[in-house]
Amino acid sequence: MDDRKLDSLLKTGKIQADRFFAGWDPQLQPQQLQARHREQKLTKSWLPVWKWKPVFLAVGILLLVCLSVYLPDTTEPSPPVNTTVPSYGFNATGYESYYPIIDLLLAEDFAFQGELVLKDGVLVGEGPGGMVTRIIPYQLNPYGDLVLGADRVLLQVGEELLLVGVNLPYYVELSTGDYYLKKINERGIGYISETRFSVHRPGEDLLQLIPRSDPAKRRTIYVKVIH
Amino acid sequence: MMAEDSRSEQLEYLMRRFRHKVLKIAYYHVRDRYQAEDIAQEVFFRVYQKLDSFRGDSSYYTWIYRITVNLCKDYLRSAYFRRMIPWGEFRLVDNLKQREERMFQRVEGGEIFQKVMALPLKYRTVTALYYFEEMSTAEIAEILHVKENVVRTRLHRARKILREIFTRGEAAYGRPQTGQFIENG
Repeated sequence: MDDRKLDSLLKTGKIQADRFFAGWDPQLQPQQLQARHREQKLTKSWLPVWKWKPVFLAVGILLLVCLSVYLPDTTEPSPPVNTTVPSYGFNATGYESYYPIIDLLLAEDFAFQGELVLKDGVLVGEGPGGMVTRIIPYQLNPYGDLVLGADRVLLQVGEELLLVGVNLPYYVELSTGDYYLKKINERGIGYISETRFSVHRPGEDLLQLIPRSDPAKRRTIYVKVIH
Repeated sequence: MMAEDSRSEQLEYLMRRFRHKVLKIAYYHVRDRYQAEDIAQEVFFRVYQKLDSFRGDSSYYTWIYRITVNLCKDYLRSAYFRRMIPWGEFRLVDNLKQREERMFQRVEGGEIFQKVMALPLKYRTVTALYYFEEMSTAEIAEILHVKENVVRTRLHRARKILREIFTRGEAAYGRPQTGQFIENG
């Protein structure tokens, strides 16, 4: 496709955008904003925090002085404190990686609950139930070549493998030997597709990703499953 | 300090003048009409709050659009947004599906618009602002708070991706259907 053709399509896109936005004219209410502003102002004036700062500071110092006078001097070490840091809510969107395809996946506003680490191009997620999922994102680059986060993955029996196609969901077929890797779900919506596999026995399998436009450009992911 | 009446008039003027663009910029970021409306409300609330402190270093135009972009970024980083795409059990896809339906429910024959909207954030914002809103690269750079050459690079990459997507569309559906894009548009 040459530049002129692309420009022409984008002009059409502008017409479509204009039509889309023309049918959308929500009425923003200035009165509501003013009322909210007045309300907030009232709350602020009720408690001007900066005025109380010196008082808080003085009370704090006084408390510290009192504690240092009355607390018994002890040389015994404190018992270790056992803290559990919840690992949920890992902000994957802030994750930095050297893998452009993973950056792209995360740039697509993906976010994960649970722990998430990057190992050799594979995102390893541990969900709240302890289920480990190894995630390999893939994409077709502008030249029609498949770009994979990783081309080999090691799983343990019971773990799941999730392939996430970014941006080009319907252009790649996945094929396996279907013996060690069992496809348990496949869905695609918009610019994302997900294919989930489970593994139930140790062994080795090859997972093929075949671009429909050019099957010769297929890529293979070597999968090894251990106990 | 401005008199209250004057502030109100000014707010109403700014809302009349800029609300459409603010809504569009927000939509290009979050791709959700309802969320874009919420963001637009918040933008003008901030504007109203800071009218007194607006020093005129930049134009209202730049000032308001920058507030919009910052609020969009905050939203995309927010815990609320992250919860909307939960992990596991394919709720992620279900949730995305609902959001996509909301996103595009009013699109009529908007395949090209949809394809641009399906680009990753950094490419779709520059593409939409440049081609749909007809902003210059300098203007886009100013409101997105990036250098102009970054905008140009992103536009270049976005064009490459779109060219590839449209070419595939041609291959998959045949040339008459690509022509149909234009006719429908």
